[in-house]
Amino acid sequence: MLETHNLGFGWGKTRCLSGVSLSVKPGEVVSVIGPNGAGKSTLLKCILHILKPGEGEARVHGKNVGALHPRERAMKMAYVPQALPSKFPMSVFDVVLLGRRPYLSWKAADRDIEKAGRELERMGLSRLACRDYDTLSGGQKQKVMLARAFAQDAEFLLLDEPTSNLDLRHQLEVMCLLKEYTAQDGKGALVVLHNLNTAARFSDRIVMLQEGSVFRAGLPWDVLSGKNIETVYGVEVETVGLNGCRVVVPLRVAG
Amino acid sequence: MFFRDTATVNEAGGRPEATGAAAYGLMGRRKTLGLFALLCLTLGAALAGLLIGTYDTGIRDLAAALLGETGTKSAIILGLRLPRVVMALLVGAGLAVGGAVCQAVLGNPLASPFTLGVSSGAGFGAVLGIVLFHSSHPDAVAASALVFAAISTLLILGINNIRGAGSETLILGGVAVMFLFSSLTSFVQYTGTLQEVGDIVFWFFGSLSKAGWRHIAVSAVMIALPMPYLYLKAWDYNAFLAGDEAALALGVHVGRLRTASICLSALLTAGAICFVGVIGFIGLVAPHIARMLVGSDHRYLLPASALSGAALVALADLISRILWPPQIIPIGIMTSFLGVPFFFFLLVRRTRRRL
Repeated sequence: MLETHNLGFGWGKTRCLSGVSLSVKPGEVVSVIGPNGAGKSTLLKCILHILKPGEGEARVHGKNVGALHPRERAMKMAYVPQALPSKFPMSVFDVVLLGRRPYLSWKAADRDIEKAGRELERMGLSRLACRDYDTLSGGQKQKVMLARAFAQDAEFLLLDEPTSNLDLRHQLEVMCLLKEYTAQDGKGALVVLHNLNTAARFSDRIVMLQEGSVFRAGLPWDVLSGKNIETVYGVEVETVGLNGCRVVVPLRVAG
Repeated sequence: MFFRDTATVNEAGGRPEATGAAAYGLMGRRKTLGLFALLCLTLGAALAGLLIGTYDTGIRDLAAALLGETGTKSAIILGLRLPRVVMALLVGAGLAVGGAVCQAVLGNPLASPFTLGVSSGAGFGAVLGIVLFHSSHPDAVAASALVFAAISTLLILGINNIRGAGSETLILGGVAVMFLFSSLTSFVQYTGTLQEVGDIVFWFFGSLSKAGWRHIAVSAVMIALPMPYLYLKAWDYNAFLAGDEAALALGVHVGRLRTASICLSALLTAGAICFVGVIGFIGLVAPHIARMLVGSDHRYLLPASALSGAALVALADLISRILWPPQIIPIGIMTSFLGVPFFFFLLVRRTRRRL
């Protein structure tokens, strides 16, 4: 189980995060939602100790993340950041193989190469193995990043807005792949999402952040009530039923 | 990148195109082939450097010299040309690997120990050494260059340790350090005597003629010592390409490795330039040439950089000796003359490919 207890962080006197407690169980997708600047990305970075938490702690299976060796940490948690940097030409396969870094000695063993190959295949990108990562489309890049995270074979995935910048089809594909992976392989996922309908549809639970604190957490439709959304986002919404699905329709900025 | 060409040919030829792990295996073989080609080029350049010069010698003379025959030809080959060639290979490899490592840990294609100010530090040290001890004491000049290379590295590390300083801060800081030492150098030149200014200018041109076996030994130790460590960290450098945060999440000690790598690449650079003077551009261009040949996997990239750097400096030295005999054009000038057009060629080629 991945859990945080009263996690807090600030840059100088500016508080970005305070008293955040949440948990992710294996096989579960938990979404983090909230307006821009609510501290969603900071939360992920604090859990991973990319930013050292000011107070509180994050634990994986009861062990403080800060006390883990970086390599051990990487075996427990995989991370896909928001930005997808591409500084030097690198082949797609090399990018995916990077996910095996925590397990590799100097030489890439056959099983590491096989694993990377399988994850690339799961994404349906085997044909692109030798392509330059830079030359891919945004959707393909995101899938390659996901393949890298899957190849890392960590117990928990932390994804920062994996569907932003993606077209409709890629959004759906990426979320379905994630759902399938967590269910099949028994992995937990903590996902920052902007699209409330995507969050509602694919999450087991949702954590709604407001100004660095948890505003509500629980089952998707308990959290996504019109009143909560209006308070946190300042937008009036209506929830409508459509072919057995419920969707949030934004109406107007709350006055 | 060149090594991808074969994949396209396969496709056009109608043969089943390799995908996934199989394609990766093919790519690995192509990279090994690229490394082998570079090795041949380097050995060829070294051999040419031994045989070609103002005095005619052939492969038979080389064999005779190696078998212990004494005479003018043997003296020229073993006494004059061999130390030049060895130093050229060492300097090229040291500068290139230093550049490749800096580019990796700073995530910036423009980074090299030169842009971090290490070489301007060394340059200022040499200038100070020339003024204080005169160029008749080359060891003192080299020692002074080393000390100031270390000082500029410490300045960079100081910037690196500021909380929240990213690689951009580090590069900007490095450029500032570079300007600081350049202006200090100019100041000393401005106040120096004509003789001193002449010596300073000569030092900055770079010359492989200054190197004796004793110097080569010192340089070789400084350049060879960091190599195994850097090579063992190849996967970590690969992880750096995914960005600092992703590298951290992949289990890399980002801060610690960056500090160690900057120190070691400074050592490589100092070892390369303290005896022979400032040889520019290799640290920047050789890793890029290597990257175009074998890709960005540092397990291949680091040796490929070392080989391209060594070959480039050896070739530049050869050309500098035969272009305008009996004059020897300073090596620092020649590496840029040779490197810049070649670099532009590769740059244009790569950009076209992407369009």
